Amino acid sequence: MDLRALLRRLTGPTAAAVLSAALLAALFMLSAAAQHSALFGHWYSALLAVSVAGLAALSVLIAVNVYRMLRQARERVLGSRLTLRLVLLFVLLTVLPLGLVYFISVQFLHRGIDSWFDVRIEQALDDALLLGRASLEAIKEERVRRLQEMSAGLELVSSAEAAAAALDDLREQGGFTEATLLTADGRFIASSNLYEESLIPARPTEAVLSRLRQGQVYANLEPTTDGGLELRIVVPVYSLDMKRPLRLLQVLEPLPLRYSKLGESVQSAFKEYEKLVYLRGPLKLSFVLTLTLVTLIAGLIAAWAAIFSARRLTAPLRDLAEGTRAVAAGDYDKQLPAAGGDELGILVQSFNEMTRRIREAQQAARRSQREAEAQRAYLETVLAHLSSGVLSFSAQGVLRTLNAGVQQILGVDLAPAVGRRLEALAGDHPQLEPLWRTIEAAVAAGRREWQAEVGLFGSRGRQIIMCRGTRIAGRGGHVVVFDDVTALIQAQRDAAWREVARRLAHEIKNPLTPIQLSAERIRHKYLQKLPEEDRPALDRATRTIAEQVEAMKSMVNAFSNYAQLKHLQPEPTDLNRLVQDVVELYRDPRRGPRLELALDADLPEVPVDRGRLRQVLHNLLINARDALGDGGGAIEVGTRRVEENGRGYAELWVADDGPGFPAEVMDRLFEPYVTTKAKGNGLGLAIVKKITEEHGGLLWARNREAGGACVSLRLPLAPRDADNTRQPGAAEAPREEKRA
Amino acid sequence: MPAWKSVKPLLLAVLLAGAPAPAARAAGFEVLAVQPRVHAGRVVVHAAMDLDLSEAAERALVSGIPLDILLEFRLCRRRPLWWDQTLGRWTLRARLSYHALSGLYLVRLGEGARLHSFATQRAALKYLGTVDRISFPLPADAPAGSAYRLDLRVRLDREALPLPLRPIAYTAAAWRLDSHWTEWTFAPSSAG
Repeated sequence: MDLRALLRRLTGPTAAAVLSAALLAALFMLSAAAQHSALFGHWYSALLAVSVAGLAALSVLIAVNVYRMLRQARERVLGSRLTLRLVLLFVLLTVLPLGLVYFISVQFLHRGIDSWFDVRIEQALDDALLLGRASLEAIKEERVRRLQEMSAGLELVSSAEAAAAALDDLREQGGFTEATLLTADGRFIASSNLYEESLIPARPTEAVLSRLRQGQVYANLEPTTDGGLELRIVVPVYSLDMKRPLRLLQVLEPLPLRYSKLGESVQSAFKEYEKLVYLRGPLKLSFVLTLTLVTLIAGLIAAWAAIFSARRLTAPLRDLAEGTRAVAAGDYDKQLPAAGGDELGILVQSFNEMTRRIREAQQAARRSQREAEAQRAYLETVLAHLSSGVLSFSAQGVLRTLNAGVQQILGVDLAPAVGRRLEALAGDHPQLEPLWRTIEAAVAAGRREWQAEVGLFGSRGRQIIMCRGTRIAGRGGHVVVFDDVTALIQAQRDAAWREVARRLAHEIKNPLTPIQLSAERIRHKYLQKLPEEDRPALDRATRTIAEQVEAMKSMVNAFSNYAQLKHLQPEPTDLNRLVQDVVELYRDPRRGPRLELALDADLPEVPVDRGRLRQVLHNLLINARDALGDGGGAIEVGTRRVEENGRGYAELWVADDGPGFPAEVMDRLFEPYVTTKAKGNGLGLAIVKKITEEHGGLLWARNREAGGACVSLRLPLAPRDADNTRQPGAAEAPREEKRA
Repeated sequence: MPAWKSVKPLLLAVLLAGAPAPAARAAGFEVLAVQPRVHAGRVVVHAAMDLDLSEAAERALVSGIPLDILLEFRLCRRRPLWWDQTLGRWTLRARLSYHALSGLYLVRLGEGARLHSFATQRAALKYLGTVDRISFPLPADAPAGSAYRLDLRVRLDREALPLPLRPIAYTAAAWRLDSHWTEWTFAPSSAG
């Protein structure tokens, strides 16, 4: 056991209880000693010392406990102030009546002891003593006279033997117990004793001898060993012979029994009263001391009991306060010790029940949370492995969650944008603006489910995004799931065109040959047989049929070429060189439009299928030349490198200063069979668009402000070249244009 | 106020309990001389003591309270380089009382001994202060030829006082009459 524990045990309630019990026992014995001195009288001082020591120990014990309480109150330990308050209350309730009883008891004690004494009794006892002395004095004088007379017989006795015989006679005659003849200096001459065992006679003291040598008589009453009184009378014995030395006769005579008893009674009463008078002060002091000890011990025991009771009382409250704090801090495992069956006990029981239920509820909540977490993790795993992009928005349009598919599809890391509103997202990622606008419109419309196709042109070129949105029931908000359907749509479109081409070939092209052959046979068989004047008509008719059939064949073949799915074979290509090669084919110094080149010398190589891009250039140049007609004019072919949304592009444009596109066809410029030319088949720009899209590029057309048309296309650069792009802003954003 | 008057001496007694006795104390017991010798297997002691009662003790005596005076003897064997060995202890109880009827002071030296009467207190104390030929048996295990030491102390037996007087007797200086131990070394062979 360490020192602190030992100290705690020594100052604990058990030690105080034992000490209190010992003190009470000591007090009881002290009281018994005061009342019956024969019983505990010899323990009185020890009991007193033990009581005082115990009192001091109890005081120290209480002082230590009070110090602890004060320290705890200073440290604001839970329940300490209430304990202190209760202790003060209990102590006050104890000390006040105890002090009152003490002071009243002291007064009673004082007056009670004083009432024992009375001046008249004291005077009466003095008088009785004087009377006794006077009576005994009379007896004494009478005995002295008698002894003086009897001593005359010894005047003639000279020898010791004769003296002894004379003393025997004298003792018997006088009724003395002892008769002794002595010299003046106290030496024995002869003696006679009633009791033979008393061989040595009682010798007079030097004072008595001195008094007798002066010729006086000594006579006095002396207490005997057995408690009686005897008369000691010493008289001088003079001799007739003047030369003989003085001799002394001493006799011891017991006082008559009646006188002896009366004398002893007076002596005893006087002695006891005198003792009582003398002990009045000490008696009061002793009683007050005992009363003080009793009061102090009772007070201290009460104080200790107050401390103990207050602690016992406040312990459940302290526990409750600690428990409440623990619960407030989130510790729901707190269980308080039982505090009995009273109201506090019920309160503690209720607290324990409450914490138990909270703990169970918390455990249930944790279980639910774990399950929700597991579900969430499961969903996140599923979402993370979904090829579709999933975005969730709050009811206020704030982006809350997204999965990995979003970045895979959009090519943009939107994780930092979580928590931002849709409006802000449009500003952060302008290339995704159509997507945000679509979602924003759907959210604002509050539709439960919606679906939309959104076209994007970003770092991955042109993308068709299929969005499906659902409003989240209950909490509000929306979930948007989208897929990149660019490839799918392209595939569907290709398949559709292939089917059209197949049908055209089957339904149109196949009958053309018999038509053409039939027309030629008719011409061959009937041209010579017809009259001269009819021949030109047949010739024109059959020739027209053949020409139209041929035209139709060309048209079908062109369409087949358009619809034919060809795999691109991209390879790094110097776009400027390709442009120069193609443009040179159309340069005619004598007639035709003026061809101008505006090529970006820093343009990196572009991964394109050279043959198909050459076809694009041919189609655009033919369109431009046809638009200018024979009136001259200028065709500008340019390239440049642009940077948009962190991605580099090679931009190619072909512009002319002709009449421009009519407004009525601007919306359908890139659809098949839309043309403003008399002889055009309407597939030129459609093929350009198709090839551009096959390269992941973007195509648009516009009318120039200065006049004329301009068709532009952007082709994405290879990633390593994209890293070396120019600073943003180099690109001129097309306006009022038709994009495809 | 009576209560305060009663409590005051108690407080004074408590305060004085730890206080040293006054330096100029006239009354008290003192051993003047001790003369031990061994004779016929017994230690015979002659001693002279100066016994002087304090005023408080005198007042108690004439008020009928007997005073028990203890003469404590301690016989030790002297041992060089070591503590002395105690061979025996003896106590002689003398009772001094006052007989009011006769006006005599009575002395009884030992239990059941003869009662001696004295007209004055001085005479009684003088008688008590002269111990003549008191003897004690020499313990059987006392080694012959050793040097002995006899210690004597005379004190008032406070435990024999009436109960109410004891707290005061233990705490008041007027009741501190005890003498110190007086030692007397002797050799049995040379003495007797």
